[in-house]
Amino acid sequence: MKRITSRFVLLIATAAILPLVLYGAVSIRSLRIGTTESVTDGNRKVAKQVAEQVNLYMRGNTRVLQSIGAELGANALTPWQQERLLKDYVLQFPEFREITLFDTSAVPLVTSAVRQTRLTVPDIARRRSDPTYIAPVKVDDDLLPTTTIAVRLSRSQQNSAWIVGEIALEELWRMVDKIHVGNRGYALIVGEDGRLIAHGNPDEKRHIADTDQSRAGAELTFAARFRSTGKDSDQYTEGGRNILAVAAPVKESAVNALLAPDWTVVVEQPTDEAYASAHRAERQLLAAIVLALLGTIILGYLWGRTFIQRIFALTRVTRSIAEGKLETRVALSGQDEIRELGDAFNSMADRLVELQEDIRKQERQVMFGRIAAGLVHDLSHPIQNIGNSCKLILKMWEDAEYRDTFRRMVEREMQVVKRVLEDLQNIAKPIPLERFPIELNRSVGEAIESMQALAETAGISLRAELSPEPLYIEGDVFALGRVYRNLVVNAIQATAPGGLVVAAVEGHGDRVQVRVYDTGCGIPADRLQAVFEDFVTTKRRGLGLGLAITRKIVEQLGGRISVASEVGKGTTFVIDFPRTSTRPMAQAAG
Amino acid sequence: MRIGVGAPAGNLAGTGADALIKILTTDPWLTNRPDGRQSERIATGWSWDAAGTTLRLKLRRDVYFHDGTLLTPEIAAQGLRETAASPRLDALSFTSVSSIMPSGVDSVDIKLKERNAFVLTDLSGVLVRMPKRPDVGTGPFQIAARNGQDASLSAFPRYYRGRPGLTGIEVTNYPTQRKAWTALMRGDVDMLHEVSRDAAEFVEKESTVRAYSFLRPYYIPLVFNVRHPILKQIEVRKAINEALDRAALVRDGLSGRGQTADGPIWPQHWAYAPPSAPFVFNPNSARARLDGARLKRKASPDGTTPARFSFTCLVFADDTRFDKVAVLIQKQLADVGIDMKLQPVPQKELAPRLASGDFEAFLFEMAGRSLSWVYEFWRSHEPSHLNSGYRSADAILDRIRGALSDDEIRLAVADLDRVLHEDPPAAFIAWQSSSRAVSTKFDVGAEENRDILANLWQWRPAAKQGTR
Repeated sequence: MKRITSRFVLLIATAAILPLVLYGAVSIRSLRIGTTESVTDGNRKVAKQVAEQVNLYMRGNTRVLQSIGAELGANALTPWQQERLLKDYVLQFPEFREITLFDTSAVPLVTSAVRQTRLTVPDIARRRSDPTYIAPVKVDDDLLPTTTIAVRLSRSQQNSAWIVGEIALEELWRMVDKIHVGNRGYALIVGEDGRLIAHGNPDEKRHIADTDQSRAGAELTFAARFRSTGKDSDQYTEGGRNILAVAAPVKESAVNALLAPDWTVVVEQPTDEAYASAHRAERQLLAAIVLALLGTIILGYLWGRTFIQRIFALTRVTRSIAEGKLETRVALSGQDEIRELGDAFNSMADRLVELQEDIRKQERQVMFGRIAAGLVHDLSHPIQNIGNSCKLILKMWEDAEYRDTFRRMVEREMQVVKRVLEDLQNIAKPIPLERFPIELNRSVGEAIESMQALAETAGISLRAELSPEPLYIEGDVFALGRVYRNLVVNAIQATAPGGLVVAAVEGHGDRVQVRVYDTGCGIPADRLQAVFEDFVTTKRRGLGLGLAITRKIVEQLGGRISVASEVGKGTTFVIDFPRTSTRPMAQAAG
Repeated sequence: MRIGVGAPAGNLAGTGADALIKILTTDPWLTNRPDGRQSERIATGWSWDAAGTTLRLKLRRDVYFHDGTLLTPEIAAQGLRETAASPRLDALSFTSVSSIMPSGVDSVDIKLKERNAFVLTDLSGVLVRMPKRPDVGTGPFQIAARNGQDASLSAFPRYYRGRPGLTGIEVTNYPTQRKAWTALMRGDVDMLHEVSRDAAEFVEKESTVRAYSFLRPYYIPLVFNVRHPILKQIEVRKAINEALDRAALVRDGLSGRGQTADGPIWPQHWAYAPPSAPFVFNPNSARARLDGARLKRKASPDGTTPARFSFTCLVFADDTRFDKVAVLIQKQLADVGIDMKLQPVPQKELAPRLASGDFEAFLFEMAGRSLSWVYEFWRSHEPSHLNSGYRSADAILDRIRGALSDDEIRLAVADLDRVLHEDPPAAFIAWQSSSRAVSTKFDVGAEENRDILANLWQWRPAAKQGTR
């Protein structure tokens, strides 16, 4: 059986908690997706901006060299003037470590370097017709990344053909150092060959100078994947932290792709920081949902408790009434249907009391009627006999024989009256018994013999079937005689003339049985178990106390009584006593 | 601990990894404090006699050499006699020493031929070594293995100031400061002996490394050879001094890491006083002085720089640290019509040329904490490490050398400052700031603006080190 509380929990879960949890799950999922997209987009913009800055920076450097070329072309400068010009530019633009002017044969003409120039015109630049060429990043003698820009000069610029500048890419470090995404998000630049050029994280800069670039970590792998697949965002784990990374090409944002190096800008940020606001919102949402759930549960509990307590009160009162405490009533608060139910219940209980009183009254009346009818039946015959005899005695007073008959008749009928009154008395209180060892064959035989006349009158064959061995019990001779009489008389009365009534004595181990059976009309099954109750009879008349007193005597003597009957075939009563080894005193003495 | 030193091969003796190894394995007799005064070290006390010609040193009695020998006055006297017999650049005043004798159980008497206060000063540069065994010192670390400029050092447990906090030190020399920096970046070394100016800003940002900056007692001068037919003119040298914007040179040439110099006297020296009439950047005045010297700008028929005159400035070929300053000076001088040509010269070639006076000008750095160094560089004498032909300050420098009181020295220093401005032997450009970088894996316990190497023997591994 499901308790109503369980149903309430189910109701609250279905009506409130489930929708709330579903709402929370959907909201958190939407929040995560939205945050991931917005953070990735934001970082992507940063990466593009950095790429644009790098591009501008490299274009600016290229234009510096172009400006030098333009100055050389516009003015016929002497070598010392050219050297001064180059040195001025190097001083003005500290990212240039050196600028050198080459002739058409790629022989250095003038250099800004204090010492002999280290620069050469890149072979690729010489083979191509592009006006500018940015060489791939290389590491210098100090193992730091550098690049060179070669600008082809026009023919008008005397015999010079190339101007080449070497750029220390540390300037890019300064650029990315300024880029902070949150507190722990950094930008980095990866060269065309996958080498780290700049890293905004001061603690990761060391990888720039690392001869083994594979130690630089997952960002380089990501950059390489971006270059090959074009997938510009990803998440990876590095140093036990989840990193969100986005990439942007430097070349893509260039107005003139020829002036831009084929580098990649990566912006990376730990996801715990990138999604910190979302996580905060998630936690707040979760807390709100939990609070709402708790509130719902508490309110539901309090409300349900109020509701269920009244039902419990109603249940308790119902049980109390069921236990017979009809005066119990329920007092329910509120103005709802439960209160109406309580009121109705109380009304019902009131009505029940009234009905019970009515039933009791009717039962008393019925009982009184049955007792009265029984008394009338049992007493009217002797009284009538006595009355009739009294009338005759007036006429036959002189007849001494008749007077004697009259006396015996009066005594006999008075015995009947006395027995009826004793029966009534025995029903109300224990029957006084005196127990002695009794031989059952003898007691049964005497009883059967005494009732032979009655049986003959009724046309019934009555016989005793005695045990071949003497069977003793602890019993009261008179009380047992009463038991035999009741059972045999009932059998005779229930048996049609010509029928048979037998009282059989049998021994079964330490038990002794007396079976009284007849071939009478039998007792219907629905009434069979009530035959031993007070004032129950299958006969049309009488108090119905015979079998009740019989059972009372048997049980008081430590025995048991049972009945089996089949309508139309007959009835069998079995009384059963414990056998005793004690012998009657006279027999014991003899 | 692994220390990386960035210094070109063939660098000046006493600099680079070699100097660091000396600092770690030996002790001087005295310590030169930042203010130029001496404090105790191996010698716990000193006293001059009344004539100022005998210096008595009182020695510690618990100093052991790395071979387990106890330092005695006899050994001390023998070691000092070896120094006096062949005085090096850091102890040139020992040429004044006539005899060195042990005195009692814990003293040494140094007798001089003449009064020379620099003997006491130079004792902070003279290292205590076992006689005839220069590789056996008394310092906190002893050499376990040596390979050229690189060395493996182990802690000397009987070091008289206490057992060193580090068990060993590996010193590695790199050809450039920049290369040493990349070694630090890679984690190949735990300490950068000197951070290059270009790298300083990046090193300072690193969380796993701590940088310690201090003003280095080395100044950058543009030294003139006053025998040069034009540079011998005082007005020309004054014009050059006025043509130089020292603030711009520090800002652009040294990346702001330094301070302008007004002379060779260490600004933190107790005898230093700001000059009353320092050279001020004034190109117009410089031009006027050059005009007054009849040095007119003239076109060059061979296409070289049209200038009032030309001179060649020598610079170290192996060391690029001062290239930018040199180019800036070149530009600033060009603005007043002086053509300064830069000639890189290898260190092996430079030193003999300076000593022989075979130069017109040169640009490098010079030690300047003690007055003895000032004397050595700017007093003319034969033989000399710097033979510039300048003699104007000789008398004043001799006064400083022979002074016995602080007042005498202060007066002489003020006179020196005046002479160096009236007849400048050089254009004193700047004092350099330097910084050392140490991994946070080590507890350095540095003092503000002090060179952390002074207490390296007390460094120890940090108790807790955060990981990357």
